[in-house]
Amino acid sequence: MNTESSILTVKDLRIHFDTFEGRAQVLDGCSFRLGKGDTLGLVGETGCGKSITAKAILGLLPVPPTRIVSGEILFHDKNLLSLSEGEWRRIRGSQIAMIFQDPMTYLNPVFSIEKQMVDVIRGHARHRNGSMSRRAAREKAIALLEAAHIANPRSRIREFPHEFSGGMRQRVLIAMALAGDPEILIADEPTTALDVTIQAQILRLIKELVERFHHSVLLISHDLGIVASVCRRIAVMYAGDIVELTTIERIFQSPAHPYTKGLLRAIPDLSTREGKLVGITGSIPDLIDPPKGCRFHPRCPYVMGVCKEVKPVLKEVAEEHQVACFLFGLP
Amino acid sequence: MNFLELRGVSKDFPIKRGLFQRSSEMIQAVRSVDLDIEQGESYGIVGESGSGKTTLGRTILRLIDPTSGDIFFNGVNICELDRNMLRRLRRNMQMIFQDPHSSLNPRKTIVKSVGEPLVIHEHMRGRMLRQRVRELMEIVGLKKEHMYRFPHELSGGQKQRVGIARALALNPKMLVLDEPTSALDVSVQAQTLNFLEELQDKMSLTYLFISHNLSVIRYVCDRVAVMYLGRIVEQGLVSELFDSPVHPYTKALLSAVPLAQAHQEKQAIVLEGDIPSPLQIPSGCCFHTRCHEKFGSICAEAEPALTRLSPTHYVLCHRI
Amino acid sequence: MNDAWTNLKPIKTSGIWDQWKEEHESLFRDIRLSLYLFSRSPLSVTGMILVGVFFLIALIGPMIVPFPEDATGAVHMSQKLIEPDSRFWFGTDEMGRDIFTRVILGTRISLRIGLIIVCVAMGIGVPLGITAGFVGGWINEVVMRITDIFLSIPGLLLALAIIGALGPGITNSMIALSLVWWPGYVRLVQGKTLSLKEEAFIEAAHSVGAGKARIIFLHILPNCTSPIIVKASMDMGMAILAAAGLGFVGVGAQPPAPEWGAMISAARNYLPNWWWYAVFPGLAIFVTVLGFNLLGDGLRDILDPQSRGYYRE
Repeated sequence: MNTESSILTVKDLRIHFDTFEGRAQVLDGCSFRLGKGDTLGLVGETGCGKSITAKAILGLLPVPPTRIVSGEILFHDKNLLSLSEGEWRRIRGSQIAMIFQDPMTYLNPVFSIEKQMVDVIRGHARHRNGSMSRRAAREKAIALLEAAHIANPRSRIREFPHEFSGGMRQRVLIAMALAGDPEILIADEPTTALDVTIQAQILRLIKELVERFHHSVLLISHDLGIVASVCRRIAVMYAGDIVELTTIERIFQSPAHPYTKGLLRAIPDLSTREGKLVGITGSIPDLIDPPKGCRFHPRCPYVMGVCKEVKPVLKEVAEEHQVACFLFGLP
Repeated sequence: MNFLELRGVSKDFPIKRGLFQRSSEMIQAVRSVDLDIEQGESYGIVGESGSGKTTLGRTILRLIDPTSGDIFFNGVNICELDRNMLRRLRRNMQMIFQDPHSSLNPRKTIVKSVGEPLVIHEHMRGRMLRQRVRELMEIVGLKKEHMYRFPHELSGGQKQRVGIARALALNPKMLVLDEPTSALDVSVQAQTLNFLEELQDKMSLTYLFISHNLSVIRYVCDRVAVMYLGRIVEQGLVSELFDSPVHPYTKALLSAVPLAQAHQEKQAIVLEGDIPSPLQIPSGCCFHTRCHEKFGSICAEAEPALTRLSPTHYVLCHRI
Repeated sequence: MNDAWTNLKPIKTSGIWDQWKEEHESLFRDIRLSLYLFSRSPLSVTGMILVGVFFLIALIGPMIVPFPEDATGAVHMSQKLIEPDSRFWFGTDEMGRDIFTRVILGTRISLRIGLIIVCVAMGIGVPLGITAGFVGGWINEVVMRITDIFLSIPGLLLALAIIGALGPGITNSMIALSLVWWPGYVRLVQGKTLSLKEEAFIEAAHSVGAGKARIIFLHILPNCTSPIIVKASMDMGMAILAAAGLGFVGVGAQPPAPEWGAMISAARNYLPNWWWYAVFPGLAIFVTVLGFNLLGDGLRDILDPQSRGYYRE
């Protein structure tokens, strides 16, 4: 992955969050790149910072109590963290779009789908210093709904969110996300609220859209399987750091970081009952007073002395495979 | 005699509309379910929204009363129990709930929540109550300090364990677990599932494990039933069902699970359309609207009969 | 011999006091969090101070006023309508009574009225609301429709109508305003009960064998207290205002009771020359109601679980 083809570069992002008990160091130097047509999955458990990263990219974090301490998010060489709200609005939705987790709460229940989509489409057109008539926007909306495989889009567009099922609402949201012809699509747990068979439909849709329109996709999930079915690359996050960054192939064939290995051992296998699930001893660290050195060291079966003092950074250990662990080379 | 037997259990929810709450429509949540569970086994129920699995779990515990059918627990028909007998029944069967964050009263400390069944049934109080709660906490692996905390001070996994401690308070024989690990992180889920397995051995429990997560069911259960729109469409040993599924829905369900492996099946079966609403269940075989292996016009006209493929494997399909 | 003794761990006799402390540790932490959050908002603190002063004055008022007899019917025509000066801080009224004394003593009257109205309204509204919400069915329908009827009549108008039937006076105005206020609590509590009923922990209570009474008192009611407290604190201010309104119209407290509304009513005739007569009682009402409103707002903000910052990803 060379820098020229990377359209989104997150560099050393550090974010803190003020709480009553103190300052939680939610993200502690997160770095990754996303190229054109690239699909990257952010995987991690509670508190790893994956959702925060996504929201930071879109500037959706409320600035107190969140504090962006350091780092850059470069979108085509422009640092998104230094944008004004006006500049943000031009980018949000039109160049970087987001699909959220719960389709019901992200659609306004009192407006028809048509109204909501037309608003969004015309808004994007305005930001591109153009304008679009209502009729043209409506046609575009219908085309988008069709691309999202909603049957009878011409008549259904006039309906209201509650008349759609969960899976269909998510398709509508995906259609709306595509409305601005974005370069990057960020999907934050897009199928968590959906049934298994519906989830399969939505994942297939996302894959199809990526093949058709070559969006870059950042998919956030706690489910390794979901990420594996859509993305080519994966970043495993733990307590605010990316601990392993590589391709899907390599993460299953040769997982490197102890946390990744622990995670894989904890996932039940659909094809067999053989073997025992192994949890990871210990629990997620307190982000207000995180462990010194490597944040995973209290739970790591391979912990060494240096792990307790110095924090490992991502290092390339193989082709397209980075790991943040001293097992692969001392500092 | 089986430990738990269900015969023709159905549950309808009338939708009341209008000024005088007249029922106009009916949600058929559970439709004529037959089930046998043996003592000491882990029986899994799999399904998506509208399958009726959650309602079935609650009906077995008599948190909801079935519209028709019978439930036999150790030979006793529990649908005919009066209030006192029902109270005694509660000691034998308990439920573990799905969402650990809302299954505990946020205003009660842990000790009060766990001790509640003891207060109600055995009128325990004071030091004896605290002692017993402490024992229960130890069984589930929680420390004494957690006793006096409020739920919001505990993590999801810890809260789920509190729920388990509460369910164990009266030494039940059976636990109905409604998606007990769905809200937990993967690593916590692994710990919890292992713990549940140990617990089952140690306390000779029977589990009814309800989940939409097929991998978890495979790991935990001995036998499993697949539900769709209120009916059991296939049931059998876990190995039978998962390795050689027969019903088209079972096949689709298995194929829809995103696997944590590098190469996904290219020929995954993806069902079209949405799950029909339980308000308007399709005629004939309820699955025919989405079935990719439809047999013929009979699928839309008549309900299939139960076909027995082996002493343990049953399927509800016209094709067989 | 020694080994046996050294291996024995000292038996911790946790006394009742230690036990109590351990049991309530989390509660203390919660209270500390609430206080901290509350103190972060200057407006809320202002509200609390104003309300605190109000209560304090109501408590010690009779002991500190310079001319206590002016509230009980004394008349000093020679002193009438004197501007505020060093002797009479708020001036005197048309009967020569010290307005400062009367305003201070009026605090007690207002506090009594406000407390009784709110308590009675809660006492009627909360049980009705929980019952309606929990039991549902036709009881719910009946209770809610009656509530709707009461709420559809403008409050003050309804109060006046009731007073018209009962006759003027402080007690009757309290009865009237309580009858106006209770429906609000029914609405609030019924709504909260309906949403709580669906929560998993209620179902869990059922499954461990809890009866209806237990669920209502130990599970639903404690979870309703937050919105009730917020509403009650804001209602205190509004109730005091409403009572002053009735006093203004003449059907509340009767002379010579130093009720703020009645004082303003009498002061109407003396504006604008003898401005102090109306202004000071008016200010008293304003400051009191403002205090309760700010306090209520502040309480609502800190009791909202979102703002308590239960930090999650």
